[in-house]
Amino acid sequence: MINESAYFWLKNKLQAEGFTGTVSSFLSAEEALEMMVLENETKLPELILLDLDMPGMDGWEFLEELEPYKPQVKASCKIFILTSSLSLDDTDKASTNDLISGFKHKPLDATDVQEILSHL
Amino acid sequence: MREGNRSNTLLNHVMDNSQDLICTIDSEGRFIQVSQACSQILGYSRQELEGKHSKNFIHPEFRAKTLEASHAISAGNAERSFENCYLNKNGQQVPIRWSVVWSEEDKCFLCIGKDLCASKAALTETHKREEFERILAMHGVDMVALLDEEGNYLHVVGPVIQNLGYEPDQLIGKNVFPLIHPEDAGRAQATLAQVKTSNEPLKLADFRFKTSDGQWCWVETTVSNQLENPAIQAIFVSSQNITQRKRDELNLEESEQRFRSLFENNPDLMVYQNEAGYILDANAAFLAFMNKKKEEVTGKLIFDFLPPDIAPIFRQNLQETFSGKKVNFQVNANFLEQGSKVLQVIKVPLIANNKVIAVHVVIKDITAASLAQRTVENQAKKLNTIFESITEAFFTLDKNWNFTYINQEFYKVLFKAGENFTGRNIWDVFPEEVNKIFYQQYHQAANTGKAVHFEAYLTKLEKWLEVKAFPSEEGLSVYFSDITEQVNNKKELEKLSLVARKTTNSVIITDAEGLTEWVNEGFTNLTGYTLSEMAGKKPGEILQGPETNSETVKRVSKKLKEQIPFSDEIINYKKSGEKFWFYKEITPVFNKAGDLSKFIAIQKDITERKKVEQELKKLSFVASKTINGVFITNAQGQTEWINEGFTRITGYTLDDVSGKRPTTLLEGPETDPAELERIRTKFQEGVAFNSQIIIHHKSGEPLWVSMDFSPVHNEQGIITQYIAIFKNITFRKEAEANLQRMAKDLYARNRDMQQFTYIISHNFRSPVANALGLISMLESVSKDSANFDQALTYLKNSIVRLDEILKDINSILSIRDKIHVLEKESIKLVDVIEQTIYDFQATLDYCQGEVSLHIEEELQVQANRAYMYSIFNNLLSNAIKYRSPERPLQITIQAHTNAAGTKTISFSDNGLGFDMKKAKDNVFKLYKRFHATKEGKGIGLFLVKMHIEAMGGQIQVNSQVNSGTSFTIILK
Repeated sequence: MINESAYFWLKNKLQAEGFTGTVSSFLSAEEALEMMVLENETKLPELILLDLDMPGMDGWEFLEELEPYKPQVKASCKIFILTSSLSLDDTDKASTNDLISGFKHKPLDATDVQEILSHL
Repeated sequence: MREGNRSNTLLNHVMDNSQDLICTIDSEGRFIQVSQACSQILGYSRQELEGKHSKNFIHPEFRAKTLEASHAISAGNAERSFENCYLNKNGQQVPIRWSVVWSEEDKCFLCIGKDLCASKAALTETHKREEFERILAMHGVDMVALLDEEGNYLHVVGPVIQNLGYEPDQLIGKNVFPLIHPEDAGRAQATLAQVKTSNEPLKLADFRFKTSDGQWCWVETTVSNQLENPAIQAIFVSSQNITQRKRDELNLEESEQRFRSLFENNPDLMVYQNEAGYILDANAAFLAFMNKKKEEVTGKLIFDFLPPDIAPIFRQNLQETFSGKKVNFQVNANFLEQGSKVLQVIKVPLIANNKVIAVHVVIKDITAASLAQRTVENQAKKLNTIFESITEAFFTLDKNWNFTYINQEFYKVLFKAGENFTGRNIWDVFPEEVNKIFYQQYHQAANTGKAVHFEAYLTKLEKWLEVKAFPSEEGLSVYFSDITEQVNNKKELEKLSLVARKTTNSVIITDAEGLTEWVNEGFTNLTGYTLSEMAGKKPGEILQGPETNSETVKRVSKKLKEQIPFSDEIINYKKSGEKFWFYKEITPVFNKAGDLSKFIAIQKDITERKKVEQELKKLSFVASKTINGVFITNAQGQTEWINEGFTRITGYTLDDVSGKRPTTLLEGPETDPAELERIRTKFQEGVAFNSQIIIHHKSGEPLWVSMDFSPVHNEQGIITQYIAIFKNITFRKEAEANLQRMAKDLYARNRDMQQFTYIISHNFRSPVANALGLISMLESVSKDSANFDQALTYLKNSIVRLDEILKDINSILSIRDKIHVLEKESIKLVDVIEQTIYDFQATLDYCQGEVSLHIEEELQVQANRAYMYSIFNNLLSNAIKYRSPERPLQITIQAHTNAAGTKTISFSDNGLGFDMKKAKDNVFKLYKRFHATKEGKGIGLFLVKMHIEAMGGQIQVNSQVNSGTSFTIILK
């Protein structure tokens, strides 16, 4: 997530919609990758909400890093793009990547959260 | 002792009287004792020799031989005799044969020398005698022999060997009689018998003797009785071969008989007379003519038998003959009995011992022949007169093809005067004609007896002759005349007429008035008018039409009146009405009197040529007047012609460019060399091509032109010229350039628009989305909760963020708007950078950063001062912000002026750096950041790039993670 304010309301939203799991926030993709144990599918998060526009490694690059662990990731982890971008380019690109379960624009409303949670 | 004395005495006697040279010589070769003969043989006295060394008297050539011989003799192993040669007192050589004995007791040589000179002289004497005998026998008689009483050969000498073929040995012992011809043998035996009883030598006249090869030869022999001669005791015969003489005698007799018969039986009168004129002999014919007997004429003067008027002629001639000359003359004599006679007299001197002893007179009665000849002569004279009066050349041939008569006209026609073929064979005179026309025709006439009439070419004289030949008993009479000129004229005419008739050109012949007499096929083919349609009419009246230039017509009739050859071109009309161009050559023809008799007009259809000419005229008008530039070069590319357009566009006149290569002339600093090279290559390929290229006006001003080059080929397909047409396309090119610039600008703007879209979709949207999210949260949480306050704080941040972005966009747009109106000035680079460092000094001090500057004091850039501050402010702030925590910050700034006058500034630090692979082309993009842990908006480098590009510069970056980042800026 690009900033704390976004994390703040997202976490709040998820809990408000009934999500009971642990929510962790990372301000860069590199940081998130360090925390993830990719080799072990049991230790992967259930859900990743991925922003595209980040300093350093962006959302797409993050997805490329996951590519070698595709089977593990696909088995236990749902990835949703969560972006403020309205660019159609990004939407198109997301639709061709099978690691991505969905594409959501900020801010998420209740329906969006319910749909995300329904994938879990 | 007595014995010794006796022998001594004897020896002395020998020594004194011996003919031979007797001597003793010691082992050294010295004479001890020499016999008296030495004075006779050598001319030296005994005293002169004794005690002397023998070597001194020996001929030098024999010294070595003598020494060698004496050594051999003393050693006892050689013959004791040898020859050597002494020199006598007079120095003459004396050959001596030596007998030498070596006496061991006395230690000396005992030598007896025989003078070889004396014995050799004796030998020569014998030889001489033999030789003499031989020569005697050879030259005196042919054979000398001795016979015994029976006639047997005892001894034979002489060349009988050669003449009769016998060797002397073959005859000795043989009897002579079988060798004698049986008819003569009796006489021979009688002579032999007679000589035995007589002491006188007898001669046996001519008898035949058999030669070794069985032939008979005539021999004469003298026989002499030498039986009583005690030294000989034989019959001596000396014989001579007289075959030749005998044969001559027989021949003489025969020839005498022959001559006598000739004399006696000769039908001509023949007399043999002496100098005085007395007749010695006369032949039967003479006697018959004179009607006398031989006795009546011999001893008489010949003149007595001749008529008195001719006698003196005979007398005079006789004298002449006796001077040794042969005389030949004719006389007319009137004899009483025989009447008038024509006599031919030949007198031949008879010479013996260089003296004329008599004269043969031969008198021929040629009366009849003479008369006949005279008749013939008279007739010939008459004929000659007739022949000569024949104006045609004329000659006669006999049956053997010999010329018997040739008249003067013959020579006039065929040969120069002075030649004479009379008597010669016609085929010898004209051998090349054998078996040709003349030969065949003459033979035909001779064989058939019918006259022939023909024309033929006489090769030898290169003349055409018309010949009439009439055969007769005598042969052929031939008349001929030289028709060479007629034949040539005829041939010429035939040829001309053929040419005139068959030529594709049209030919008209008119009379002096210009009225058509004749037209050829060519004319009819071309115009459609036939001779009958044209005859008697003026060609012009029929052929001219509405478009015929009246000026040309006037010009033509003027020339016709001038009566000189001329040519012209005119429009005429065919019978079909079709118009065509005629090129005509008109030649007046004059008769022998010099009066105009005809005109000959030869015409050619030049319609096609005229069309081409007119087309060319139009084309050339176009080429010269077109606004496009045109030039024509030869195959080598050298200019031959340019048009006005060329001069108008380039400023060059024909004089300027003639003979030069236009490309060389027109190229200049702005001409693209690659395009010039392409033009050269295309030239070599010989193909048509287009080139768009910058040329230069004479004034130096560059011009864009589009040139079309076309090679011109001749009929053989070889390039003879190039034609180039070009137009000025400078305006078009400028428009194109403007268009390109605009397109580039548009592209840039479009890219910016995309960037804006991105900014709006991400950066602008992001705080808005946050705000929306927070607001919806505020709606659902209680005002009193901690979350409410927190959400409110975040909402405020998002709005502030939104405001910042708006400000950024504003500043970016303001830079862009200023691109075209940016004020630039000369700025000292060092000043700007030092000021920026000063602004950051506190921060640098805090982080122990250092900036090292390597820039010339005077280095200036054309730039906007504010932008320059902004650029270095951003770069320096980035360097500080992204410095490495592991080492103190080190910044290096360098600058230098490039060859092209541009300035290169490099700005490098030893900070964190970034991964170039990951950064890709995002380094200078708006809101792109590479360090998640550091605060930053991602607008600094975007502004740097915008500023630099606004000033027409460029920026590049190079970076390595944990090593540092380096920027390179290029400014004009």
